[in-house]
Amino acid sequence: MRKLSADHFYCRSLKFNRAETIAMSPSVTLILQIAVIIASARVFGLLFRYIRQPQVIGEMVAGILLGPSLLGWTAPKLSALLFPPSGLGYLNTISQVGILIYMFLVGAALNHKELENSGHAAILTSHVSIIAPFVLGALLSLMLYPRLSDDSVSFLSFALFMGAAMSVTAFPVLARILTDRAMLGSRLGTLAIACAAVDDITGWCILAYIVVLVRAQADAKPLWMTIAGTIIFGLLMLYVVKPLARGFYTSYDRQGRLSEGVTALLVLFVLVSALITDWLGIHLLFGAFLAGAIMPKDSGFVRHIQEKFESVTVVLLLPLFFAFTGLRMNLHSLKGGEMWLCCAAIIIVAISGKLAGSMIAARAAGIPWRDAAGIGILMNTRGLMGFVILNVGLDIGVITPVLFSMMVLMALVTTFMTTPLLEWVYPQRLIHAEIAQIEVAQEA
Amino acid sequence: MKKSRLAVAYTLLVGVPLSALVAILRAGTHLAAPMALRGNWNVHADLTPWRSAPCKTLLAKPPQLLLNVAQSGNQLAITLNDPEKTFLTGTLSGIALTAAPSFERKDPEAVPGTDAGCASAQHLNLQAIVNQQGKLRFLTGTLQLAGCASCPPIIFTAAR
Repeated sequence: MRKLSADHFYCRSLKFNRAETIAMSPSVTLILQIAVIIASARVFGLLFRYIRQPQVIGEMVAGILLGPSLLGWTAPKLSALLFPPSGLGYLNTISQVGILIYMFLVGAALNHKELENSGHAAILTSHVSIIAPFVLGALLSLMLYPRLSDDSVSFLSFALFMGAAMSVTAFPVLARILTDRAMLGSRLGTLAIACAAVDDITGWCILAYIVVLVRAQADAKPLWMTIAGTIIFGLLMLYVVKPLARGFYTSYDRQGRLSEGVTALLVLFVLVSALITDWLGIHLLFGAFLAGAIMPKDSGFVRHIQEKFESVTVVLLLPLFFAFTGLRMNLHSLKGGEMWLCCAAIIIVAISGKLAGSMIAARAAGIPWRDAAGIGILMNTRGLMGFVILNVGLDIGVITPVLFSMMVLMALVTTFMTTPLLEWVYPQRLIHAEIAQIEVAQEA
Repeated sequence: MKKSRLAVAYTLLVGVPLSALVAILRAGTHLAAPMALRGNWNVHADLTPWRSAPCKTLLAKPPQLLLNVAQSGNQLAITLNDPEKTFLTGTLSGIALTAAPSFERKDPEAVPGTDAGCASAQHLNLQAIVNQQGKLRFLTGTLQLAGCASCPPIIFTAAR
């Protein structure tokens, strides 16, 4: 359980100091919190759909607004009533379960064959789309480390984390944007999905290394044991568990669905995998992600798993995670011009590294400028995965609350700008024309 | 895509940035960040002078005073036992720490007599010096309540 004392209050409005609290039982508080969060997420989701943004961005914004950046600032007493420090532990735990299942779904949706089919262009673009923002993030760390970190974190861990957080792409949000714009089957969509998959896997591997590095300084467990254990676990999952996991597909194939017993077994498998990675000294989420990644990649099976888990995860649990992220973020903690300058630098570096890096790489791989720009814009979407990585970073102490707030803002800005920029560079009429062209070619 | 073109692109777009990354990571090892103070500190102090009413309510349920520090670089957020009553923001300058409530608040409940400052953290100030012995760090400093006639400064030490 995370500590929620000064850390939590650091994230609260400074206007709020002593709120009048009304005594409520923990379960009533929790239910009230969930109701408010879901209602806000739905309202903002619809509002964002109205302005042609993916619903998930509205839900993310709703979560942020429920925190000290807006609600805690404008209505501190209401905020204290809804989200008392003592009542956040339950919210955190439930949101962690949600994000665990979501990471499993993200892993299940990844398919390395998409990259293999996309050729050299995808490989070059995906590698550069990781390295360019990573290097720029590390470069920016030279400025941020003395200002926003402390000596309990080594520069190496800090710079690697900043690089990883800058280079991640929100694979699920990207897929949603492409689906909404009917671009999933287009050349650009296929390439972007393939690159995003590689980015996510690489980003998580780097993050796992950072977590090991940071925890090794505090834990009694030797570093070599964590690294060796992780490698052995990874190999076991790939070569022993993966063939066994085909049993889930066989069951699905036989009955056309997963029975309740098999579903329970699947959930158990995800939880055990998560617990093992946590015990090894990395993070619960890695186990869940890995469990998803080794699942059979039959499209019908993957869709079935997603349908089975997605509704409760997306409607109920993810908004809780966004709200918890929002409660940890406080824009009012960015005091003074220097802090806002750092924040602006983070956003500029993130955009130039990811967007420009991917665009240049795609162009160098022979992709026309317009498509290359489209790739850059799509790869710049950080959204949900950015939130997940940043929360892990704050949990393990590699980033501080103020830097967390800046990075969350960056993730929001880069996600929000995707749809309008894409519409500008790659208008709908071009997409329709390309899809018509593909259909004609297929018929021929 | 031709293999030669791919090789050139890889060298320029992947190889060169990787070399730059190595150089950046090496350069960064020389950087110094502020001292880490975040976490919980057990405060050792004689709180007897403040235990007389109404000041006893401020630090909420002594005997053990717990100082919690959240840190972002030189910026600090500090609470003493009850975070709702004692939320201070401060700065760390070298080894010197100063913290105070960061806003002026008119609290109608905190007015009774000359001891008005006791009822809230409105006038609570913390000053401390960070001492280091090996890997362990200690705080030595004073807690003050401005505006409270019957509240002398309290000298404290704190350890994690």
